Amino acid sequence: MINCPDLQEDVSLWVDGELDLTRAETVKRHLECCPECAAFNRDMNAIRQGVERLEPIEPPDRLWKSIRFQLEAEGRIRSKPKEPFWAAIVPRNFPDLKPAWSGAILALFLGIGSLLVYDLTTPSPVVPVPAASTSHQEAVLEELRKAEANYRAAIEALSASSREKLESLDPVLAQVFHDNLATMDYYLNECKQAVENSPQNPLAHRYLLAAYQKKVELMQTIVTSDSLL
Amino acid sequence: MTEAQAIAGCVAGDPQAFEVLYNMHKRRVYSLCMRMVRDPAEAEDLSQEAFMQLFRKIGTFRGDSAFSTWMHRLTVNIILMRIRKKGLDQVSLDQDRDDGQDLPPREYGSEDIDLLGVVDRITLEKAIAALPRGYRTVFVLHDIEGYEHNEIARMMGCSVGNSKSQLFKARLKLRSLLLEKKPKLEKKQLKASR
Repeated sequence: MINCPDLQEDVSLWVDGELDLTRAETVKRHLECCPECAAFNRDMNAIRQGVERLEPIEPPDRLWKSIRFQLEAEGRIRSKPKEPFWAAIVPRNFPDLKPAWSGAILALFLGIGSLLVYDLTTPSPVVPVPAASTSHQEAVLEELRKAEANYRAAIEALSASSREKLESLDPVLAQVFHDNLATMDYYLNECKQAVENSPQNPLAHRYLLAAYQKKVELMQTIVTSDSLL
Repeated sequence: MTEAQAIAGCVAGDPQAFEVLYNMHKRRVYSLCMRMVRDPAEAEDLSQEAFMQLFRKIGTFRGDSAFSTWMHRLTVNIILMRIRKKGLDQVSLDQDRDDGQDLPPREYGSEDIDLLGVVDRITLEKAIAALPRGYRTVFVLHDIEGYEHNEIARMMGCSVGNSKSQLFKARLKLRSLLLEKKPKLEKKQLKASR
């Protein structure tokens, strides 16, 4: 006589096709006359079909970040070569202007840098400073201070709106602008130092004002950055 | 990028290749971990360990088997190792701890009940999660991941017969869990139809 609980283990194997022919035949015959085991067989098949419908579970985004962090910590990821700053200054989604931007920025910094080097390494001014009277020198410096004050006012006026703009921009683009502002500030300080060292050198004056001018232009670019996107 | 290109890229340390390979296999690896351990935090931890092992060993992949098979086996080994180490509520496969208490009562001669229409995806996931760990391990490996009993026996260090017996008990328990949910589901369906 067939014991149903024992036979159900065979039903489970039969569903998987893991029963030899003789036992399979016994199971088939029993299922035809036993509603309980027939229901069990249907349930096994229903579970199998249900399993086939199971969907993969999506892992959280932070999983990749953790893995990537660990890969970097173990030195398995080759770090990307750092882009030159003039390449980073141009928004990635504005490729048509990239060569022009890169060229202009490169020329600006090369110009400022080389002139600074020239200025700082030349013992005497390239342009002979006329033996101007002290009052004339004072007047020139006064003009320079006024121009600096105007640029600083412009920078002050632009700083609030540019800061606001940077907060609303895509973080990657904002970082590019932050980096370039920092570069501008660096050159501005270099130029200020050059003027302090050679207050009578008209070239130093010119480069200082050019550095201010470029910073203002960059801040204007930030404020109007919507038009770039 | 194809899988083979991504594998070569990973060996060369290309960051993009790691990400491509991760995206190709993340769902399967994470699903396996989740279904085996149930706890999302532990599943994340295990998935991370699996991928890190994979990326550390990827240079040794010779292509004798499919990459997904290799990766999958590696993941299963990590999960089983963790389960052994933790010794959580694992049901030993070498002894029939189950003395019938876990299994559903068998009501012979009762009305014909079956699961047709009950086994929806969410209900089934919940029922699988509610299985005792030992049953769940064999059920997930065999019925969901498609491993043969001889492979499961090798991985778990038990006999083939034991693996078959555990699977049967897992299915029996699953059936009882699903049948428990049947009246609730029927009520819901009835409400919805009104």
